[in-house]
Amino acid sequence: MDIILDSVNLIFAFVGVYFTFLFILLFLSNKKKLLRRPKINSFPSVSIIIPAHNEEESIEGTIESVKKLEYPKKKEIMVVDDGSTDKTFEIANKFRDIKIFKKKRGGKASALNFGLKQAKGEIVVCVDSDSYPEKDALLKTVPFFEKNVAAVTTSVIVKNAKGILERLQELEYIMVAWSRKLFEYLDAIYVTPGPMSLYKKDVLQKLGGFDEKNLTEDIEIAWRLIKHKYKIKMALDAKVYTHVPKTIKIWWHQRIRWNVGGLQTTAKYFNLFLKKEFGNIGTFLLPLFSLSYALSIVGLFLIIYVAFVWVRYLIGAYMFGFNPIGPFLFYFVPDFFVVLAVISLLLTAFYIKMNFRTMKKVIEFPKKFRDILLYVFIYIGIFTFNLLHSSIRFIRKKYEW
Amino acid sequence: MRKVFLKTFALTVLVFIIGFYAGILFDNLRLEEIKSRLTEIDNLWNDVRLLQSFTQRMIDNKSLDCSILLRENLIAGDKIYQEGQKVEEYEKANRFTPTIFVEKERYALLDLQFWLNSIDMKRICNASYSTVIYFYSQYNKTTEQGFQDRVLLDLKEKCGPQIIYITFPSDMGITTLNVIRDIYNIEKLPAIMINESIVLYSPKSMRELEKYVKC
Repeated sequence: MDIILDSVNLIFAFVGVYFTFLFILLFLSNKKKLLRRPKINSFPSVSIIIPAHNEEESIEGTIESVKKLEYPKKKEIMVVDDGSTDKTFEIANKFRDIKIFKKKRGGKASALNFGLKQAKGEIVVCVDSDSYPEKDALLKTVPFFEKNVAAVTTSVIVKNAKGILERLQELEYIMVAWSRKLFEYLDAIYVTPGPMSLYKKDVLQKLGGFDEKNLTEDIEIAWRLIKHKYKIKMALDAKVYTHVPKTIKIWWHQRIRWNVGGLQTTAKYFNLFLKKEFGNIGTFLLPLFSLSYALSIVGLFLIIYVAFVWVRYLIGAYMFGFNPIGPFLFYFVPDFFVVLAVISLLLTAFYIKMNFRTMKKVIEFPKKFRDILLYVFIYIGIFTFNLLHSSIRFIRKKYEW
Repeated sequence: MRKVFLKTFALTVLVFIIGFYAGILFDNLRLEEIKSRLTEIDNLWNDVRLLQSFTQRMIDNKSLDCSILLRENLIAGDKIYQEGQKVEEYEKANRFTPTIFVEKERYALLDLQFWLNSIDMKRICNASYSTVIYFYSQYNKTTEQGFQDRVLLDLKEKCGPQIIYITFPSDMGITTLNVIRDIYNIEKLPAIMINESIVLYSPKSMRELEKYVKC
């Protein structure tokens, strides 16, 4: 068992160190370009689609913030009410200069596809009905639409993070925004997030719109764009604020949906594994996702095994009457794995520092050391349990919102 | 783009090479420390053995002060016991240098000498301490054996100089240990022998062991 554990630890350490180095190298070689955006001569027309289902609490704020978006041309704004049973439609209907559509419940992707058919603009901007773009978000994103760019994403920031769970998600979103920007340099932005992403309408239409069967249409469309050799860019300083789950239960459910959607997408494109002719899907994203799923599951079993060993040890201590906190329990003996752990920890600290240093130029956020520790050592660990739950749902084909 | 992946790979391999060499360095440092400690114990043991020879001569003169002999023997025993714990911990940590097994054999031989001396001393001085000898497996470390290790460690911590606690990796091919196992009919490992007379097979709880030792 020791050999198995050591081997698994070695693989984990190798993968962990590899990807931390990858991000650090990507950062160091592109740090001057992170906040740069191309110049634009003429702005294309834009249509903003807000798909909404039972969002009476937030829809008004979303519409107001979308209306405030600065843009040199007239914006077409539409709300697609996806079978709401609350007052979403009535609230949206109070706004005069926007289009409101009401349709039968068909899911977010179906609402987006409905909006896509109605849209007149060259660029389609999808904004979640509980998200609030900053007024300059369009001006910062649209210039990225160069020749082969089909989508542009933004930095999603947590709105009003108060409780510990919200603060951890705030940290997560900040980390993710930075790493997503770095993925741009590998042509591997794997998601165009729902809170605010922009697409070339003609490309979306050509590819058949959003996948209505997928739980995470924003991941699936990104992969499809890469598969067809389109580029996705990220405007790091274009911000959209969004609400995040305040309770573990809602958070858990949200992450299950994201994971099942991710698994659906991975399965859908798995036939491209290691194939070079489909952009970086086959050679980078699929191996990366497959590896992270596999390692997460193995990691989970490792956690369970270690927990089992400890429980057995405690039962043994009780049964045989020895002190579980013996004199040699915390005996520190440095070895090969301790050296690797220290190097990994230092690299992770450097990674976080670089991340925060960049993101501080984009957004003010409190950095509590305790939150960072909780994020690195607890929050990320919980994902593995969620992934297991999601995998079971995926295998059982429980694809529900 | 391929360049960045290759660079990353090279850096990661470099980190692993550094980790590997650092691991070997730590292993060697531990090995050196154990060797120097064993030399110290060697000296200590020679000291006690000379004391024993001296005592043998004094028996005839009927002027023996056993308390000095026992005190020194217990000091040596405690020191050997503590060093033994360190050898165990270092053995767990060492991954690249199997030579620690050789050191462990050397340590077992020292322990063996110490045990035999303790038997003699107990007889000569009519001492009241108990000897607890733990025969364990070096190659088949079961959970039960782990529990027994912990129970005996606690017993030693609790009883202090009232017991002489000696552990033997008994499947390393040490001839004397094989002979002892045959003489005392120790059929399986782990096993505990108390006062050279009672053989118990593991796992035994603290409460059970306390019935056999004076503590």
